[in-house]
Amino acid sequence: MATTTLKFCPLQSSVDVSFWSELGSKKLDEYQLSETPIDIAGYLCASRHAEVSSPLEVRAASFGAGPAADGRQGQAPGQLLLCNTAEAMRRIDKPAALQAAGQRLWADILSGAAEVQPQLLLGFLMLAFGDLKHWVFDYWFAFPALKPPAPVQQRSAQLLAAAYPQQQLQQRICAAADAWRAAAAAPDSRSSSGADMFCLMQISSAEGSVTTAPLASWQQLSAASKQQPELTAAQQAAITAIEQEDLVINLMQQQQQQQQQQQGDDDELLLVMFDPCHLPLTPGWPLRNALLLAAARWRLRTLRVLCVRDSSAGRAAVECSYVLQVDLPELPASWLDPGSSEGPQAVGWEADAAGKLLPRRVDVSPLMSPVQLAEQAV
Amino acid sequence: MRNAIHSIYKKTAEAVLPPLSKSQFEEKRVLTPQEFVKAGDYLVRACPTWSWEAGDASKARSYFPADKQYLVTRHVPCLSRASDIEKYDPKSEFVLGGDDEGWVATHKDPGSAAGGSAAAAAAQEDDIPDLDADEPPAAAVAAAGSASQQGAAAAAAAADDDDVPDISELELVEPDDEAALPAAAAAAAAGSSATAAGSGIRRTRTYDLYITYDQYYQVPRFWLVGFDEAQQPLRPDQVLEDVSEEHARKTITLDPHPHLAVSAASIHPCRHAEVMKKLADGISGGDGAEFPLEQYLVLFLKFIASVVPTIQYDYTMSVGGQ
Repeated sequence: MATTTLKFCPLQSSVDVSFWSELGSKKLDEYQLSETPIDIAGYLCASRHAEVSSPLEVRAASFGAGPAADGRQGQAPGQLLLCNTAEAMRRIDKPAALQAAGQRLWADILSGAAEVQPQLLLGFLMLAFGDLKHWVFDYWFAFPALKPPAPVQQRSAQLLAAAYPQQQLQQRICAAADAWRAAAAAPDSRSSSGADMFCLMQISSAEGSVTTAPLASWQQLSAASKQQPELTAAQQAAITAIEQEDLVINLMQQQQQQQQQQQGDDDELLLVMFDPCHLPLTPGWPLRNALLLAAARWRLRTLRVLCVRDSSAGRAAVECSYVLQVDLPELPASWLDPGSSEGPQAVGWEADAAGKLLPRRVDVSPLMSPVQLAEQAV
Repeated sequence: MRNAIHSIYKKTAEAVLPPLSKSQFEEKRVLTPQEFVKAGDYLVRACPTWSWEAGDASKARSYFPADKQYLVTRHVPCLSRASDIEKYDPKSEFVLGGDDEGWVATHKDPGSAAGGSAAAAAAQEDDIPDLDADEPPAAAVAAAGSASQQGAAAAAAAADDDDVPDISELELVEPDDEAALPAAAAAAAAGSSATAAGSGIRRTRTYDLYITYDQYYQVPRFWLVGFDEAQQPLRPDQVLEDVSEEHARKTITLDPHPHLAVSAASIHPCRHAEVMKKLADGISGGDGAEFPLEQYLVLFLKFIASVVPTIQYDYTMSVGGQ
């Protein structure tokens, strides 16, 4: 079957006014002239509306490193580089800062840390300079994404309803995705950092059973269940030869479906992402790093991914969630050696409203509370 | 000015008077803090996009659990301005509670379950007029969306003109990234979906909506914090564009948020109890069944929907009976 380059929708940043107000008071009382990077938390959730993507958001709570109160939001570890002057912000070597973040991420993927704490895949940088007299801030986000040696190829993208025609199974899949997040939000949950944006899901079409598991249990689960066998070389050649013929492709698909039915007792193991993007069948940015993790840690060349999106009431929705079948590139052996300095490049500075790679500026003076202004004017 | 004086009076009164401790829900349809938490818990369960938050610890109210100070739902899309759908149509107007002094729901019967989708459809059916000239951020986005690179650059340059004249020097060049959806394409796609039947100009704002408890009036209070297409915060006068004309000048005030160190637009709560009484009595009156306290905030949101007709939070849940 033909494949196309899988494209990812870049994340959007959103800064709540309360973030600027908190940053202003922290700058005056605590950070003062220090330019040491500050750990902050960003919050991200699955897309809830057909019209807008869910942004990665920072707000006053971002400084407290407390978990997101909204159990459906995942927490992303961020680094705030707060500059004292506009000039300092200009001088920061931005490509180097991004590559350094990329290297940290790559080390976390190789070591397995990112499997245990999937939020590491969502790490971000934020540059900021604030004119506290006028409440005008310049800022710039970067969402580091590691570039594989060759682009990830998309074999197919199907809405959940098409991928799993059984209605009961669709509902179970959505219920399992909701339960995964609800478990993270429970007070005695395994992690204090809100819902994981990634997990694994084992789906058995024959039995109609669905189970979720953390990323770290991939090896165990994939060893336990028989993997979908790769097409044999002969079959692959046959497919390539007749690729142009739609009719024949249909036949091939039917044949594949038959094959799958024959292997009906097989459990399928999928990577699940709670997808912040709203564009139809287009995955959001965080999937890039997760796919590289699959290639590096699980040595996969092909993978099925379930992208979960929510209804506007905040529950996993059958209508907009979808399944991607992707082909992953082979990684050079030198990358996989933890001692080697070779590794993927990072990209991900956020474009401004005009689509250019430039910082943004915001004037929050009309929204600052008069009380706050009075306190700080002393 | 009157509002400012009243705010000081109200703040003093709140400091001196204890919060309501005995339920007056049935007579006056006001809430004690405990009842507010109970109704909030129901809303969060029924509609998980709403969640409790703690806010600024120094502003926390002691009569609430530390992690349940107020309710919030974030980034709710608002596809068009309220004025776009405010062509007067007597059939679309419902006086809540029946007398002339009642709140007017201008666009839909808030009792009807089809609320949300009907508003969306109405918003999209109307022609969306061109952008006002006095909306520079929106204009910049529109220019970018129309793929006119030069136009976009000019607009961006104009917006950043003041004290960083050479900002374009900062522009980064990243290595080619064939796996990234170009920002302009993403924006264009977003635009086309948001204004499928409109003028093709993307005007999707998003709102963070807050419900706090107002101790003085003993009712929930509704706050709006808006962002434009480029995630820039909206000024108070821009927020007013998303409030029904009927209410924009009368009942929306800019006040300090009780749990955050910012000011925000809010719907003044002085008459909430009256309206809620009419709505709730209307529901319970018919078959003698008492209006359930848990659903107070669900009903409250239906009433708020008449004030902010184009903000598309999910207020389609049914109230009463079930």
